[in-house]
Amino acid sequence: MTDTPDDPNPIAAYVRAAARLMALPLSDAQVERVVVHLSRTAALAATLRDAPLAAHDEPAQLYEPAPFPLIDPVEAPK
Amino acid sequence: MITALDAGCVAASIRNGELRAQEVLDACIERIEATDPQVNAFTDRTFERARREAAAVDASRARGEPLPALAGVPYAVKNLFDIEGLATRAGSKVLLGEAPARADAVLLQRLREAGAVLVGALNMDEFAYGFTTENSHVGACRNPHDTRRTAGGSSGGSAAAVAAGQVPLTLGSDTNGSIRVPSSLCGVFGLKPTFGRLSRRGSFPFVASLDHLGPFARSVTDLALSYDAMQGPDPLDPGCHATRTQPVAALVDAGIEGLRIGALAGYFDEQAGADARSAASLAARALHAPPGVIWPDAALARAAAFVTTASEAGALHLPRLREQAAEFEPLSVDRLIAGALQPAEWYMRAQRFRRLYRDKVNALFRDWDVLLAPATPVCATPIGTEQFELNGALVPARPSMGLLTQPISYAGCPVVAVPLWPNGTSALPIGVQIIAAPWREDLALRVARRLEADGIAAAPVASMGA
Repeated sequence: MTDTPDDPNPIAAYVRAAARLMALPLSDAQVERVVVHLSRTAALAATLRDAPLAAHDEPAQLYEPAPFPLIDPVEAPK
Repeated sequence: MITALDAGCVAASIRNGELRAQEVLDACIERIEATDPQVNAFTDRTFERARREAAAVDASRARGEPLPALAGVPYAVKNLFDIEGLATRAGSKVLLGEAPARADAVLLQRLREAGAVLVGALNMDEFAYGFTTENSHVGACRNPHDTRRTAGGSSGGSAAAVAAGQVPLTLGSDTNGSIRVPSSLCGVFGLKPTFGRLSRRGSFPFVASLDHLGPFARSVTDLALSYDAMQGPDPLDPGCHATRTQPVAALVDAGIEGLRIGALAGYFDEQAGADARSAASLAARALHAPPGVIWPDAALARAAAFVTTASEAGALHLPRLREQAAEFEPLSVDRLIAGALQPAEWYMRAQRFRRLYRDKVNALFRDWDVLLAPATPVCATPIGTEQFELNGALVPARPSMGLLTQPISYAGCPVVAVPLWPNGTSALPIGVQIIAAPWREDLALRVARRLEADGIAAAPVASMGA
């Protein structure tokens, strides 16, 4: 694993640092490929940055798309 | 031809004595042997087990016992389901050294109770991270309608086996579109139930907060029959929210009168190519569904699904990535590593967004019962395609196949993918998503059944050069 603190590509520098922190050995070639993917995800994550979220908008509830219904479809078809 | 029959017909024919389960199984095995060298859908064959199960069905009938709903129906499963006695591959090489499963996955247990006969396990993208089933370890799964093209993924083997007439019924998983994408590209019906409907116990996870399991078939009735057989609470699966069964098979022919059906626009037009838009329009016209319905925050939901998937999958596989990265699928290992390293804030923001998004989606269904959207941006691409053209822009081929499915599964809604043939059945199929509110699989299946009954949607067995 290489470590170049003055890396002109901040995502590459991040990948190298994070990989070292996570004990994940990466060759320079792997770093290059991972940077391509992380850059794609970074662009998508940036769109979420603009979504309005308040401090109380938290995901503590175990995800459930809606409460399980009390009435069966067979009893109340549309 | 026995292998062209759907599961319901097979079960009925065995029940009334026109066919024996062992005769059906022999035909199925013969079809697999004849076509799989071209398709590469099967990674494991469980023919000895199948012979025992088929013989038990025939013996039961000979004793005059009532047969369950799927008695004698051959089926196969994506190789991330536990099958007793086999190592669960999940499309990988690194899991092959693990101990064989000590029991079948819950859904296989339920299908066995319904009399179905397991014939094998099916090809998939490694760890379900892909939309093309170009598996480097066992070879690409090929689309039965054009073997130069992909079957879609990640449940590519599950869709291809049904399209090739190898089995009438298969199971797959869908995290971001992995049932709906291969259904679309292989021209078969697929059901992604509500998140939390079916037990996932005994299946190898990909993204725990998004993983769904469901069936593929060549008819809507078969989807409903198998779905009913698999329903039931499972307190041992923390993601199984259903507290009882809600059978739908008796409802699929109830018609669509009174249903408020609309067609999605905006994002779902912008991210669809000409064939996909044409298929969605065909379905909308047949159902008299007005166009122009806007799904809330679709692009943001796709982004959030992408981020969530990368984080959860990367974190899940990090221990093996440290030691065995070289043995992972070359097409997805770098994405897994990127996911394992991405900032926690991205993931948390995606999850916080998800609750607000869910509420907006549920609010939309106060005005609509069922919504329509294309399932994939384009028809099946040639194996090895790196980019395809989408409305004038080149996009990366493998992740972009899920552009239209990811926003829907991120809300957890049930979807039936139905196969349409906008350029005729001699050309390639493409699917339409029939989307309902959470827990209303019955409505999506009724609309799918109407399209099937009217001849708008169909899943013919691929000719495979015959």
